Amino acid sequence: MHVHRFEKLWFGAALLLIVAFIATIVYGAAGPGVAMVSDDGGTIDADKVANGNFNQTDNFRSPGVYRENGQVHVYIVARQFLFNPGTSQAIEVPANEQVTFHVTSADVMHGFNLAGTNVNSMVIPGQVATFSVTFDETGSHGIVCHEYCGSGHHTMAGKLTVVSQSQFELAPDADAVEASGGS
Amino acid sequence: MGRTDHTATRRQLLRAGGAATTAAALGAAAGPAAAQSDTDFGGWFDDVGNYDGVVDKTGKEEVTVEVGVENGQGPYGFGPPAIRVSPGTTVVWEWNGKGGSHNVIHTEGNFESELVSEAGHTFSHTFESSGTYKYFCRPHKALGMKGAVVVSESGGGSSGGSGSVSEPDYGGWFDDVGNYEETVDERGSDEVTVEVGVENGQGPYGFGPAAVRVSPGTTVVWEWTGKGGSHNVIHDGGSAFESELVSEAGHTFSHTFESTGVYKYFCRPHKALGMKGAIVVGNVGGGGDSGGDTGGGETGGEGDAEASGGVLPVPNDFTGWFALFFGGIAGLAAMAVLGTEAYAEYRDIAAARAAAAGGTPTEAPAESYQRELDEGYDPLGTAALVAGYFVLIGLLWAFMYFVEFLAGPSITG
Repeated sequence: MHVHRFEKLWFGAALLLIVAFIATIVYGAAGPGVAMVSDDGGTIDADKVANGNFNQTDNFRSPGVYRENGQVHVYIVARQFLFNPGTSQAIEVPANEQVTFHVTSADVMHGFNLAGTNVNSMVIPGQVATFSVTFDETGSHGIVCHEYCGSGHHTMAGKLTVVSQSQFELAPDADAVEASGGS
Repeated sequence: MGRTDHTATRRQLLRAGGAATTAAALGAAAGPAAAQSDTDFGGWFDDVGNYDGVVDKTGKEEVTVEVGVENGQGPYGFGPPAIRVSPGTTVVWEWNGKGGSHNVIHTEGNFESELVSEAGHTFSHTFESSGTYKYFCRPHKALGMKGAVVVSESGGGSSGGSGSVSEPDYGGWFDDVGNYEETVDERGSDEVTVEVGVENGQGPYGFGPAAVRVSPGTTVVWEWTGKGGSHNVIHDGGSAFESELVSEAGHTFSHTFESTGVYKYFCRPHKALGMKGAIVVGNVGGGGDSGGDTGGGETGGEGDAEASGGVLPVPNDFTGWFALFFGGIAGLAAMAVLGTEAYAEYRDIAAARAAAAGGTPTEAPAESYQRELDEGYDPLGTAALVAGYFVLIGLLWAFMYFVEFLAGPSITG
């Protein structure tokens, strides 16, 4: 069977492209360790979140930044139309250290995206989105809600600041975090 | 949103500053009569649908404001949005349960309620000193959920004209600072002491006083009270001064301010709790004064970032350079292939034209008809099209994956 040389050429190129696509995905998963947001965070009673009864839940804490077993954990509640913490005060996390986010919603579906990065999750009422991120550089990232959540959706944003480990310090006690976080 | 807020606040402040100046000029010319005009809120109520003038409630001991009344965009209003009360009046905000969670936050931090949605919840604040207190609901501010309480003796407007210089534009710096009231004027003193670790409503996380105005050449001494753990003093948006992180009482840190401007500073560990302050050097006012070289530090930084983002994107890491290199090679290859194809096509057409012009009319069509039967399709044209698609896909893939997706932090578990 005669196959034209151009046909052979793009047949080969198409195969190469497919191999390259797969290699890219493999590299992303194995090299930088990119992962999907799973349902490991578990479910939560959205009414308890809305009313601030975090002590009645076993997989969520009062919004704020904590150190649990040596690792930094950030608990964030999204509600119409703010991130708590994030909107009234920037979330401060250390660089070069794994930071685990736990994000849930008090009312409707929201989104959580660090603008310009692939840190991106849906925030579903009744579900805790849990994911880990390591920030290599200090600086700040905007937090945006990217799921339409009501008439004030366009104003729903926040800020996350990455500081160096020497400058990172947890709030003096959890109560203070609660007090400021609840505002 | 942060930036929008910022500019909005700045504009309001500028307008307020202008209004204050005008009011002062009028006051000087017309005496007390000027004070009787309606209070100027500096555009605060521009987007508040249910605002219809200031409701006079002077003389009452307790005034109730409903939280969650219809404001034209939904149940996102205070009813009434603007009231005038006498000093010593307690204002009670009462939630009507509509419109989700609301709170009541003073723009300068004197009072702040919880974020609550239940009907019947109340929050109250007693207004002792004269002035205009603007407040809003954090989640619905953009929807026009804003209000104001005007505290005055005789129903006149009050523009707080104490001193000859208006408040500088802090750009929202003191929004979450509980112990900030106004800028304390210490001009003329050689040395001014600021306490580190005073009560700010959330604990011993404040600077006392939070904002001080000094003359150029003044030395400011920060003195640690020993309360609230470790504190430091860090210049915001610059590096004019930065202290150690210290917890002992009696520790001091000092800096002499030579040049005019607004120097914002904060305590790193407790910044989120409102441990922020500012030193105003010289007669920097809010009426359009730029605030010296350091005043606009934060805004300047944002502007720079925007400017650098506006020019050609230059890669700053390996993946960026890799994508650029790959894209460049692919682009050159594509141009070479397409150029060759175009030239070949051009020669074909030229040859066909020459044949048509030179040959007999009966021969030429027969020749091309013969050729079509042999080849079936034009391999060069199809090859060029396919090569173009490959290059496009390759470029999109390299850019989207390596530059857009992998640059910056990623979710890793």
